[in-house]
Amino acid sequence: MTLRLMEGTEAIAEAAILSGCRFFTGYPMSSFTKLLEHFAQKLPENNGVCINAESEIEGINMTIGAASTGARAATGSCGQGLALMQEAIAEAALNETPLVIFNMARNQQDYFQATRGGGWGDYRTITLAPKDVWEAVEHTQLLFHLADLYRAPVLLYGDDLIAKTQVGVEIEAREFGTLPDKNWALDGKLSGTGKSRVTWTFAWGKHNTPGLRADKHWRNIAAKFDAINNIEARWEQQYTDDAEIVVVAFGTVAKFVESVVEELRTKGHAIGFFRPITLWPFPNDALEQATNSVRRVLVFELNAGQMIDDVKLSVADKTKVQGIGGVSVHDSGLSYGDLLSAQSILTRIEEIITGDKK
Amino acid sequence: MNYIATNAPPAEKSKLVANSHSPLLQTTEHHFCAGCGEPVGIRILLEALSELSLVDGSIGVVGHGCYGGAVTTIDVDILQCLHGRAPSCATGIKRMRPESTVFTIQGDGDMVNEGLQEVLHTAARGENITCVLFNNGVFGDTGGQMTTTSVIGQRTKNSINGRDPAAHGFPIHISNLIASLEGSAYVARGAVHKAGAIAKTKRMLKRALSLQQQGAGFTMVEILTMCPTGWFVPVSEGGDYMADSMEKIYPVTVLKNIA
Amino acid sequence: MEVEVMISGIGGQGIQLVAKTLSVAAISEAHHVQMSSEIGGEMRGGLSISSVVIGDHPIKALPILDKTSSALIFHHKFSEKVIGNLRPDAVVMLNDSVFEGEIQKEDLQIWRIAATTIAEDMGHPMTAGFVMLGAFNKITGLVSQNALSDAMEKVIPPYRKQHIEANLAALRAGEDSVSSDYASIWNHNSPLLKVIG
Repeated sequence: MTLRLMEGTEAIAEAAILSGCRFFTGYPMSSFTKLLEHFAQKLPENNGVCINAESEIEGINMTIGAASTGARAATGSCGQGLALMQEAIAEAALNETPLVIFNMARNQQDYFQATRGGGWGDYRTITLAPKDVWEAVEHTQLLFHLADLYRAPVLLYGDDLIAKTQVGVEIEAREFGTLPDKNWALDGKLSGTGKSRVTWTFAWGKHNTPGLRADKHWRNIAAKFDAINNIEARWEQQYTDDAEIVVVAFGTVAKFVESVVEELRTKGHAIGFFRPITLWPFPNDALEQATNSVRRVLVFELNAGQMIDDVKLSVADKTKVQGIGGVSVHDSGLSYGDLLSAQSILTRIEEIITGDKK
Repeated sequence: MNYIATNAPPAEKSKLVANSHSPLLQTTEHHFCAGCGEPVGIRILLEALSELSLVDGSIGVVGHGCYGGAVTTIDVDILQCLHGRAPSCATGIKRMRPESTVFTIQGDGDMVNEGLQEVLHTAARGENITCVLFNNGVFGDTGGQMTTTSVIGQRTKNSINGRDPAAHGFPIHISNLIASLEGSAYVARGAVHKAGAIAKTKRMLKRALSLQQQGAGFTMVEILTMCPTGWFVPVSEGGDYMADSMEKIYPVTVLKNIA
Repeated sequence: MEVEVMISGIGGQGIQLVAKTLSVAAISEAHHVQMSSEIGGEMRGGLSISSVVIGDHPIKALPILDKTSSALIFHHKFSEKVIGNLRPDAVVMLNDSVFEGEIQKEDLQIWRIAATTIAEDMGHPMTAGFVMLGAFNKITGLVSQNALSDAMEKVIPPYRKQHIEANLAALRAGEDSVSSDYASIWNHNSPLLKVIG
């Protein structure tokens, strides 16, 4: 094993290129900017193209174009930039174009944006939330696979910490199984043959080769997302077997929560930990099972309460669920605030434990 | 100028006056209104591709307007994209398949309203694609509303007393804007209201596509197309109306030809 | 084994460069490394803290540390955060030429190095950070002295290559400024072992 010191954005770019990504677009925006810089440097060296998009809207549409030819293509941004991309994310979901979107979020306030989206139509976005750079490297490769497997846009919910933390990491190729041929990819080779193709959200097809058209096509898409919902949920849980309290958290923040839970375990508390790795599909069933016999389900997220909605949808007895996080951002607005510390999390959980004993 | 009487059925039934089509159409069935200029534009674009032997390997990107439904009949691989975004999608396609011939079809609402920055940035980047604009100065697909290219005085459903600069601003001369950018190699404005204009416009399309093959940079052909329905004029008067209104503001000419 | 090194100071003192040099040196010797940074908005004079974690197994530490087994403190400004995180018996190196005040904490292993004065005497005041790093590494032995020199040359950006000689001299001067012999933590004779057990 040869480790190389890389910041998260560089490791993600290398993992993407190792996955066969040959096209990237981006528009500078902290904390996403460095990812663009790494792709801009690395893609041309790897027979790829990186375009400094003039806007996020243009960037993601270029990526849709590149992906429509069958190339593995990606884009990224955060917050407001992702907001601008919503129309195109929905479009890619509905015209079945695989693309990977790196959301190097500034904090956890974009959970709804990632999991609900602001596009149009019946679509979902597979969203993976790594807890650190090493997992982001794995998720990056997995996302390219899932995008191709399901012909859908997929999203990495990274963050400012993953973006800029430098770690020793080895980027190893991972195998996720075989993928269907991209016989839908546009290459112009069927133009003029009477069998030419069209990629279109409304799925009208061509005169000679009619498509399903909107109603049936969109019902199929809905069924596809339904199937993904049943298959692709991923999560991690610790100490839930005998836990009286389970703390739920996602992303980098979950890594902090996990360390606090471990510390409380060593102090003898019956506390467990649950981390959704996929934010969509949310691991509802697993969370329900993990929390069936607990006294409390605490949700620590650094926002006004977003994932807690999904937690409440999962936990049989909603009265057990309580949010213990909150809005906490750096005064610059560009990264996490003071609540992201093992000590703060420990204090909040201990307050609950103490309160319960009274 | 005569306007269509909408208080009674047409006095005369529509009749077929000609029947010839490009072999690159999978069917001659269509949904265009009588007197529409867009099918003429599509036809000469397809003829240009065929005559240049560029059909094999050609990929189209089509936006949203009346021409959009033609993606089902044009026998070319097509990405039907979001409103306004065709030049961006075409950029991604061309960069991944540089050997292919990539063209876009957009209307004035698509290109000059919704997608103005897409086309300007794509041209400025010198992307090696050919953008075709069907400019009729009106949103035909939604029933005749004002676009950024509607000429002063033009009656539309949301400028019912005519486009008034005080209320609606001035039209955008998109081809002139694009010609001013260093990344554009060829910019021309044609029209399809007369046989001579059609022949000339087809030559413009062939020139643009040839230059794309040579890697010259961004090429664009704006085609003034009649929309008697959206202009609320009789079908037979669409051509004359266009000559009197749009063509005076947007003269047919080659604006830029680097070679 | 996992060792935390927090480095604090003000922007312009080379905090991030020193942290990166230590991290790259550790990687070159096949250790596991995590380096996270907190930087204020300003290029000069603002907060600059870097946290390096070096281990002999995949790093478990969080990217924001609230405990550290060692610290290099370049300036009294912004040092409270690092001082508050010091573990009992933590190894602390202070830039004595700049640092004002006292550390109000018992049970520390403190070294005071007149790093800026040493650097100024050599005609390169900007190299004080490498004086600190050279001294710190000689005491703690996190990496070999050669690895540190090689790492510095690697991390210096191309437009600063003219400073390599001065930086090398600074690393050596830092090493010479502490009387103790080079101790390697990996050979179990570093004072850091008192902290991490």
